Amino acid sequence: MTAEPVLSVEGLSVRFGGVLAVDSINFTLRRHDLHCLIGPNGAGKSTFFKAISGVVRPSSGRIWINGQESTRLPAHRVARLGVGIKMQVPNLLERLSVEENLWVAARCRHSASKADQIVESLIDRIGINKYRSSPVMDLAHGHRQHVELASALATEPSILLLDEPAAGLSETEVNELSRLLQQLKKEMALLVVEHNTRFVRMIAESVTVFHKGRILATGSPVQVFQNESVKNVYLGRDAVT
Amino acid sequence: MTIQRANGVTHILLVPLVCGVPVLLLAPLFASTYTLSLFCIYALLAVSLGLIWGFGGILCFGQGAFFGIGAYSYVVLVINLELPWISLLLAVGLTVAVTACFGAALFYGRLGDVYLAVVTLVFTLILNRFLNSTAGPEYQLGSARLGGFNGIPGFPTLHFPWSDTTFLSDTVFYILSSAVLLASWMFCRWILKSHFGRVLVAVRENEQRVEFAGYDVRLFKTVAFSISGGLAALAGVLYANWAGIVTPALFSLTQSAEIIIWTVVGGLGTLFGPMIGSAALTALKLGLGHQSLVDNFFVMGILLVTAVLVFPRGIAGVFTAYRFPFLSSEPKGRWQTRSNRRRDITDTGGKQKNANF
Repeated sequence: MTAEPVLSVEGLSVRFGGVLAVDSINFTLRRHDLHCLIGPNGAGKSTFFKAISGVVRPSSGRIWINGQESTRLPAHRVARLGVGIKMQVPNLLERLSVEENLWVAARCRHSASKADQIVESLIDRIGINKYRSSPVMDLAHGHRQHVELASALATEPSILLLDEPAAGLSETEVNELSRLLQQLKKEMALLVVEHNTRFVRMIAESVTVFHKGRILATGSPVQVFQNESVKNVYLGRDAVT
Repeated sequence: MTIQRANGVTHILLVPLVCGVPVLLLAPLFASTYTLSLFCIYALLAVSLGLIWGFGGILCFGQGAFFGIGAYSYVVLVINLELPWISLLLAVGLTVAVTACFGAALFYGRLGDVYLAVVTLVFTLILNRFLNSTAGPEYQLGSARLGGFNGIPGFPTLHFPWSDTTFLSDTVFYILSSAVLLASWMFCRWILKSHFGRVLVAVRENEQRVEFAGYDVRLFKTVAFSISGGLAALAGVLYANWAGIVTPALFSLTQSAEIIIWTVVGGLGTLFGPMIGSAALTALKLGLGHQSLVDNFFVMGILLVTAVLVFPRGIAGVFTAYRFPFLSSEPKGRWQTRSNRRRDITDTGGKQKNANF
């Protein structure tokens, strides 16, 4: 049985002046999906991601999140519809501790005691107990990626949007992240923008390739990576599939 | 593992009572209560900026404007109503309303930090120019004439509630000013300990991350701005009662710049710092006022540059980092487990890196 859609996008376009960054995209994400967006630089992946999260206002088209229209909602209203966001560059409360970062996120929609519980469980789950009291600005890049992921999860989202979560991570950390995302898939839908094709092959059940603001191909990783057009514009003609 | 909460009442009350009350009680041994009242008023004004700038990241050059609006509103109201205490409340309420409207326009308009500083400065200067040009008889609000450059003198000041004719002596006015300052300090500590305060600090750190958590950052900033405006207005009302006259100089660039210098020299990110900064620099200003060799503002400028370069966390930064970390205005215990808190007593390394206290 097909799971219910948690994110539906219909004819979405985003224009910056004379540049059409995202062009008439139709897209559906269902509960328990782990879907990756790939494409060359400037393909429109991040703009699409920002349009869904409310950071960028679409020029046309419509977006529904958990059955509610979110097309023109600001980022905080989109977040309240159940969207957790992790940006490409860790985007954190720099001088606050890891615990504070998580608590502020968890407290938005929960009581103080419930927020405390969420913080504790996330610290254990993501494995950041060792530096829980450290200011985030003192942490290494990989740890900051973990904290931002935990911060996005602290809102208890039904859709998790991740922009290049494996960027700057070591091989071991990428493997750990892959395992974590597979676990999270059981609880929510995940949409991952990623450049690292090895990581995409590890995690994705379905992949969409963006090119020049449009969808070039979509399907399972095997189908997409064997697609001639995808090889031409993104992987290179000699790519091993 | 259960997260333990900081003892709220202790955190809010203890530091102001233990540190503030003795200082305020002993101060009359060194200066007249008349002068000390001014110190309290300026300290309150500095706290009003310290709250939004140090904890909310909102650099407002318009604090002088809210100070002046509070003072002028009180005077106009008291001349018309002849009820000083009611006028005090109405003046503060009116200024909060003005600040809320102004703040909402700025924050919902998504004005950047630099533009916000410029717009608030221009707002102050416009009010200054406007009030300087209100000498004519047409500028009359009820029975109150605005008086242009000369301002409004001779209005009823605060009196004992049980007697309309017994006005407050210098000593009683000092007690009142001290009490208002202490209460405002506790109020600000309470705000910072609350959920609202934690989010405000988070907004200072990264607005977008706070939005992604689901908070309306614009609303939080507007509310913080309004609270700050209310505190500045309260200082303005007390100032009007202290001076017995209000003039457009309240809205001057000098006044607004001084508040910023107090806050920077005293220490951003604390409530204690701006109070110390305002007291130290007001004392210096009064001292320098007795000589003509060195210009006041030359010295102020040197101090500002020195503070920024040598003591970027100001006087309070030195106190809290090395001697008296309990002066921190932010609760450190909310997210700490018992074991972590015990460790922090002996290990202040992480604390010194945290610029929040």
